[in-house]
Amino acid sequence: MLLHEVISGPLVDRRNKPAVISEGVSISYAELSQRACAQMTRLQDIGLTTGDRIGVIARKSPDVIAAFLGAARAGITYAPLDTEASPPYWAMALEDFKISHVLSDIPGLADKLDSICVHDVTLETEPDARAIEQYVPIPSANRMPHGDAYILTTSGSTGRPKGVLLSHRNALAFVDWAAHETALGPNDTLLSVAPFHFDLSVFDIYGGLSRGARIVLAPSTATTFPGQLIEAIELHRVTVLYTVPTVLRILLEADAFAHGAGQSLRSIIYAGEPFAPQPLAQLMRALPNATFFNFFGPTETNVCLAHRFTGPPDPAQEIPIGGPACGATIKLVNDAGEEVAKGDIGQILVDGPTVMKGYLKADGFVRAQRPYPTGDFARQGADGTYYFRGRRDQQVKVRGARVELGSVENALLHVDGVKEAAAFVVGNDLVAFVAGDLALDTQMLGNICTKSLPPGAVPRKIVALSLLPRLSNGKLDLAQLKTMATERS
Amino acid sequence: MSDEKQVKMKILEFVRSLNSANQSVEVDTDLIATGSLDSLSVMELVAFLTDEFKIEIAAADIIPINLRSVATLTAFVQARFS
Repeated sequence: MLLHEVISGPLVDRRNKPAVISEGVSISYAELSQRACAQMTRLQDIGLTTGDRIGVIARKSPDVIAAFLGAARAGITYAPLDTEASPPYWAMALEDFKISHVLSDIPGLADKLDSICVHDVTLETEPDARAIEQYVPIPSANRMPHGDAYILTTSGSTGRPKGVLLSHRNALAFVDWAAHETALGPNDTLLSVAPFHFDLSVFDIYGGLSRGARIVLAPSTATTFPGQLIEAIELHRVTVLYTVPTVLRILLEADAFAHGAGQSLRSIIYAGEPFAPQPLAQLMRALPNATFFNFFGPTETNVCLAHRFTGPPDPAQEIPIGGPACGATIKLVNDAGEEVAKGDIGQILVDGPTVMKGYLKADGFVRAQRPYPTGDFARQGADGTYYFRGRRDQQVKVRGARVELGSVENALLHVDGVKEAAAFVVGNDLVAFVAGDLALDTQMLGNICTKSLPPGAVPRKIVALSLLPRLSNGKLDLAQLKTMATERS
Repeated sequence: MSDEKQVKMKILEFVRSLNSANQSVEVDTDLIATGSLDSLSVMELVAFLTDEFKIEIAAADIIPINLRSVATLTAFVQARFS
């Protein structure tokens, strides 16, 4: 099966039912299919063919989803880029990914991107109604499940974007598993919060479409203004939400679930970073009817581990990342690549159908290592459950002592009132940032660290903020934190 | 504290203090279009308004139309006094 074929079933059963809802306008499965067909024809008209690539720099809309489906159907690989990024970033990514055509809704983009053909993502004329009838898979040797489907970007350590190339099979292995795990069905309404260049959106789009559900596209400003999120949840009676802990924390902070709001939510899935036990438990109390999931995995493997919570987390315990997902095989290994004893900390190695094809870099394609070393560390409990223990690049040396930054963050996250924590090295010193309750006492936090951590791992300085700064994908803005740390030291 | 001018000045001062790039913010500057507000500063701003003016702000009110500029913020706060 190929990515665009996820709508084949709903196209029969739910033909005139809403597929995508955006800015108050609803598009049915039949209309979406029609637009996808028109997008495919347009891509072919501009001269693209199977094996080519197209960039997409556009805010979320039904047309963007149609363009993804149309590209997949034509065997064209699409690369959604961060609309908040700058023209030099786009130019770099497009050059490295060997892309010369871009679909966009940004006025004047063509002037900012030399040597790139920019096309309006929205088609001027309504697609021909008969086009829908042509929406049948075209058999082609070049469009096999292991063919390229899309490219997501991760920020390389050098600041140059790295392309993560994923196949149809990669995406569908995740989509099928996730839709099954969360029991997605035609009665569900998903709120698409994550931007399309972020892999959480693969669940929203293809998980939702494959099961005939409704996908509500949240306004791009919704993660900044919790009022917009809760309004969308209430208005559309959203049942499934897949997002980062920060977004859920902002909703909690704004008391968005007061007076019975949000009770339509039956599945809450978070990914991307650890969720402190206290706000997670608070959220579970606010939404007692919802089942909570923690999905885990880097963009390179999509979700490789997952945990379904059976109750609020015990603040005294680590938060589990669960067991293997999407048919993945998980191994924990030491620096020598040997499997560690059960209970010991090791790097997570993943093999399975979701492991990417490889990286697209400035100097060409680099096939993925199998099994794929994630750079993330975990420990396996006696019952087989995995527990996250930080990232490889979080192992630092402070005055000669090796410190696991994850363990410092973990110690802080388990203190009452702390909802976010980030630790890193500035100069020769370990610095930690915390966010949570207004009156966090940093001296008290320091004392707790002294008690629970080895001496080298106690932060020299702890700074309290109301929220930690984030990038557009919801991940911590480490660069900004480091600047703040330097300014405040 | 219900003097409109005073409210406006306090909000303007706070918004300017949110980050160094906000120095040039004026009463009618579009805080959203200029990217002066992100999720971090929105929640800081809400906490400031709640504390400073002793008003309650529901989640449903934390929307762009209320937070677009210092002028709309002032009107929003004023409406909660009366």
